Amino acid sequence: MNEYLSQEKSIYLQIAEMLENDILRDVLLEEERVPSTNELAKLYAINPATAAKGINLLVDTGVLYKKRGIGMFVASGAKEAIRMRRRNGFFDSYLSSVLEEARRLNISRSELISMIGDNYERGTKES
Amino acid sequence: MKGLSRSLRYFTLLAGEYIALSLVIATAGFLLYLLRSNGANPEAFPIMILFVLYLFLIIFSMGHYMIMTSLVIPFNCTRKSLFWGTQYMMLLIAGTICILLGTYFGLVTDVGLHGFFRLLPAIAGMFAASIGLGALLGGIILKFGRAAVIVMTVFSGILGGIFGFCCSAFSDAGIDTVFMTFFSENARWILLTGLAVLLSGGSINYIVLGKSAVTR
Amino acid sequence: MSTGKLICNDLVKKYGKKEILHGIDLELEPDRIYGLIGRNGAGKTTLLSTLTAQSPVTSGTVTYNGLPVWENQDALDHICFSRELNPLIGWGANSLKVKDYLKAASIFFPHWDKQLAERLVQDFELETKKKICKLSKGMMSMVTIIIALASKADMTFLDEPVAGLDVIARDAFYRELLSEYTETGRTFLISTHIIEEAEDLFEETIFLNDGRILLKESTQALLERAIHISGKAEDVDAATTGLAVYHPEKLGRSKAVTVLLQEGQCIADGYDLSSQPVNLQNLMVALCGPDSQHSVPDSQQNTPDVKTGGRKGR
Repeated sequence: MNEYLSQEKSIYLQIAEMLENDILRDVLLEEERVPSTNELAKLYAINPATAAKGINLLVDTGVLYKKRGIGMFVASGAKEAIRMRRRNGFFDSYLSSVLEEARRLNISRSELISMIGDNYERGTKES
Repeated sequence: MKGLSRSLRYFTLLAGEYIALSLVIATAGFLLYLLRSNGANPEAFPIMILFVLYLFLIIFSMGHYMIMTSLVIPFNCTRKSLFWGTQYMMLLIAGTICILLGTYFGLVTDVGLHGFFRLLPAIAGMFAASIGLGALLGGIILKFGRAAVIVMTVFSGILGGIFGFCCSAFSDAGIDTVFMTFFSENARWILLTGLAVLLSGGSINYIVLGKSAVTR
Repeated sequence: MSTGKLICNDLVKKYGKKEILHGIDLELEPDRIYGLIGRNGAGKTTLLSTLTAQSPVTSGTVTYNGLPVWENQDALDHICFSRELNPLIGWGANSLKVKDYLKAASIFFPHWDKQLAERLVQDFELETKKKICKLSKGMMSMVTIIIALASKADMTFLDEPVAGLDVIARDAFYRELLSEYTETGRTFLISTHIIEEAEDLFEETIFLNDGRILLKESTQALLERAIHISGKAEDVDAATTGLAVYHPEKLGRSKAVTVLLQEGQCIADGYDLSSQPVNLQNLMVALCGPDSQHSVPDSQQNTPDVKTGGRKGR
């Protein structure tokens, strides 16, 4: 939370992503209440309907669940579920554009693979 | 008429302010009159003041309609409520002035209250005429906005001129008696004429106001 | 809190011989924040004025909750149009002191919230003893905003509320607006030129161009179907055949266009193109600017200008 919103992606997707990031960073713990739609709307100066859409997206993917009358809570196992889903989406989110650009620059398959292999330690920070 | 009570409330507030303004003008007139005339003639004073106030009411009406359409209509006062609220306010002002005049007559002048009541229909008629004229001019201004500035300037000029004329003219003994006689003898006709002006001016104003738009 | 809609049908407004609004149909629902976007002279103020009975319509109807709004206190009690105060004139409402202006508002608006007005006056550091005509442009905007918020009207309209406000004040206004909206569910319709800042607030956006509604749509849905395509000119043209294309930009062999997709459409694959999202401001320039000349295929040409992707324009 508290990141700036960008123009690159739909706002509700960014809201969902930011909440997921916070779950991964232990800013939001499992079984803890997440900020309400109105609180998020005020925080980001966006329309509450947009904030609601972001939250509902996470409810649909099982990351959040609703406790009637109280609010939205982080589901247990959400952290692992998010990691797993992002793992599965890793290719589409990151790799496919890398491959496209590599193709455009005529970087060969073996060149690309050795590039990754040589720099693996250097590239990854403390997770 | 829903919303009329709010209009009446607001215009009572405004009436208070304008009555205070009228008193200031009357006092200023009185002082000027004392200064300029040789031997203050208390009989003449009310007539002079009345003329001044009649003209003041006309000018005030024009300004009033100009202000009100851009002020209270954006606050969702219906044009009907604005119209009736304004007439009510004018009545309040005129009524208060009459009461004060009556008091003055009774306490200060020779003709006293009796004389005042004989004059009253004429006074009321003149007030009705000035309210009606003010409404008519207000309506003209609403319809032909730019004329407003010209009309107001002209009338202010006339007011200033008559004010000056009154101060000097009425200091001469006799003119006041002429006017007083004229007013008392033709009181009923003056009243009727005044009411006719009020009705026609008011109707035109009502029609124009009813279609008016809020402009910048 | 009423749950009525403000609906106008075939609203036409003429000033003398000049027709400003050409048959507007609009439906405004409760509990929404709408953005009204359009060029100067598109007719935004005229539209707001006629919707709120501050100006008479030339023809057409405007109703709130089924009741005509013209001279109807029952309908007007739920409406507030806080107009921009004109800094150029010294007469009229501008000759009043701020406190007298607010006092008048408090008498006429039936749901006026005095505490909110007082709090806002304090927060914005408004000098209430000053005459309105003597205020700075920013302070005049503050007065407009205070009237709108404290009126507590179910349908509140603001015409360029942030004109003259600095960045910090604008931010404060957006937050105040959101706070009020989330608490009360009032409908706000805001016309603004500072589009980029405000687009996140608008659940729905209305484009008014040359006196016509160009589109009225959920902001997010609208932005999802707008794409900025750029690359080699022939590739751009090939990839966008059959699509509604606006605002072509050319330089040498490169070309860029703004595309508005209808439901089910997409950019053709197989071309090396950059596609970028479009924000509301860029979209407005693309659709309403002087270079907006567009090609919309005949199959999509049933109403003038733009159709909304699959949903009705109302």
